[in-house]
Amino acid sequence: MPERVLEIHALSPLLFRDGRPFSAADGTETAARSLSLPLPSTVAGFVRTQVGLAEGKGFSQEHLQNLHGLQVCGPLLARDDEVLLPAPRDAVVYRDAEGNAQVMKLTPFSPPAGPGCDLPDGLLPLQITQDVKPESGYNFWTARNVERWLLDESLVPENISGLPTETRVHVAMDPVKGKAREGQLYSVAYRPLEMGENPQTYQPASLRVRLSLSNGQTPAPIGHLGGERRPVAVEVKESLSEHWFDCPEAIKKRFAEMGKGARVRLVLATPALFEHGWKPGWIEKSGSGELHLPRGLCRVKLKLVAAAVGRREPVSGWSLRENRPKRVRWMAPAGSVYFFEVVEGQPADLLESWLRPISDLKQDRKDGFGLALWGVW
Amino acid sequence: MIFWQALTPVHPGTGQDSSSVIDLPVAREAATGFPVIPASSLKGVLRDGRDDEQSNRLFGSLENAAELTLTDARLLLLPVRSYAGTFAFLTCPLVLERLKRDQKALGLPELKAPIPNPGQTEALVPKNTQIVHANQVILEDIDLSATVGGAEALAQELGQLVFGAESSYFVGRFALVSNEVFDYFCEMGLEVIARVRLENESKTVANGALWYEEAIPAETVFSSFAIGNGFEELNRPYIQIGGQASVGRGLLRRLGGE
Repeated sequence: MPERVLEIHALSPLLFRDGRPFSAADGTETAARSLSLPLPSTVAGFVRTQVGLAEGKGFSQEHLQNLHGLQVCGPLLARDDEVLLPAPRDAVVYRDAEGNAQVMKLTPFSPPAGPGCDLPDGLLPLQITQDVKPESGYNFWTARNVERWLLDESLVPENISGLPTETRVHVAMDPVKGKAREGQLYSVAYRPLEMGENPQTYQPASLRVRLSLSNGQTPAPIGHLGGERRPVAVEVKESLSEHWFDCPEAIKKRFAEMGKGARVRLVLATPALFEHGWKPGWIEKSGSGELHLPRGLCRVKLKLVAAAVGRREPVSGWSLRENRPKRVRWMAPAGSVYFFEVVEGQPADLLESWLRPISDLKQDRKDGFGLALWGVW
Repeated sequence: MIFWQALTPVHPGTGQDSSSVIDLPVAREAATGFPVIPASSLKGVLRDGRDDEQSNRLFGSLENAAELTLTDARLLLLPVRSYAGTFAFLTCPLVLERLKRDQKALGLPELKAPIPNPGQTEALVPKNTQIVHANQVILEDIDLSATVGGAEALAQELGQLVFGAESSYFVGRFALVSNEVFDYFCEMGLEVIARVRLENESKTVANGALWYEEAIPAETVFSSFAIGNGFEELNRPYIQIGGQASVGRGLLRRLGGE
């Protein structure tokens, strides 16, 4: 089945609810906040719905099972035609004494004899070379900059904070009095799929996912993504490479030259779900030839050296099939970085999972949690 | 696709403090700063308190999602005071490109006329224009050099699409300006209305009872889309939308659309 890229355009600002309780009633939390991007599972569910609607076979248990197995990789944010990726967490952007933006690269280091730290499993700490205050706003990097960073080059990225927030205050009107109903006041923070602050800085944005569709299969073109049934349009892009971030040749070349003992870095392009919380469960099994591991990892044995992982993020939701809430699980956030040493195998094999999911459970991988970017350190 | 034209100034309030001299600002889009009527306002007005089975189906209830989806009513044509022709209907390439993008996404026929890019000091107008004075389009405090005939195809197409039989009323006043100029008038060209409250006895202004309201001016044209079922709900010649209804704000008429 050929792989395609789906581009999602918003027809109105969207709402990607975080897990906080929200209601319009008195005395409760009356502000709905939006995540900066939808969760991979939200987008996977949306795409499967669109595919199911287009097939027009209804949503019977058997059909649902088939749709549930559809592998969806994404979402990636795109600005115009340029893919943007979450900022790697081993890069700290700060301002120097002259006010110029600088980047500090965090790398694992062995503390001198004497002082120690209590990191688990002999993990090394990351070295901070400057005592600085990180600059805000550098939340997304262009694919080109990420490529350079993965090749261990120095650079100063563009300040891209992501999609803007549009907060709207809603009231419920009393049709008899013509006034707002008592206690019916709430605010919602939306995310338009557009970037900028005014027409001079305006750029349209989209969400992209990659998936296999059998020939002739196209998802329904109009649907609703996220909260409040906000409308979006879906477009199928035939040429994959132009709309996706394929593994750059320079990275392929660098990995091909490396062998045992190579130092490789994994950056998460979407949040990942691991059995051990922040730590991938496949590390011990990597290189063992065991089946059902994420792509490329059954042939390469890796040793975790250090990690730069952001604060854990919750994922929950409502299971429409079981009509009850899903249990809360914790994700390693997008942009988290893992530093490895290759113990056995060819590092180039790891690139099989380039922008493919590397979460522990198969279904989480199908939902697009934990798309991997590989680089060196 | 539906077009709405303001017959009186519209005040889609934000419910938030503006932290500027204007006490009650209008809602604006985050990425462009253009004034906007949120889809939720449109939907609320169309539903207007009905709770019967049909409206629950179309507009949604706690049990079921709505069959009808509306998008925000975005600014399409902004009226700005003109030295010649009383006022001009302004639009800019960004507004039209966004409209075109949404038309394409929804599988609707797209605007066919090319969208030229006017210079910062230029206004493109059709041949049959009323707003040119001595080769200039003079808007509020900005003078733009007029390129007569530069927006002929666009004016004709938009005129037919939005105004139909009233097209000539529009074509004579149409001008395509740069994104910067349009942005300036969205920021500075909206109506700011000063209001006071009088003391009953003395007929003087009550202490502290002076406030400034912003409103999107009368004649403004908005474009929005409806998706799903229940389009007949939109077949209303007039609706009232936004705040300050009792002082005449927010009367819209429906124009064209398909």
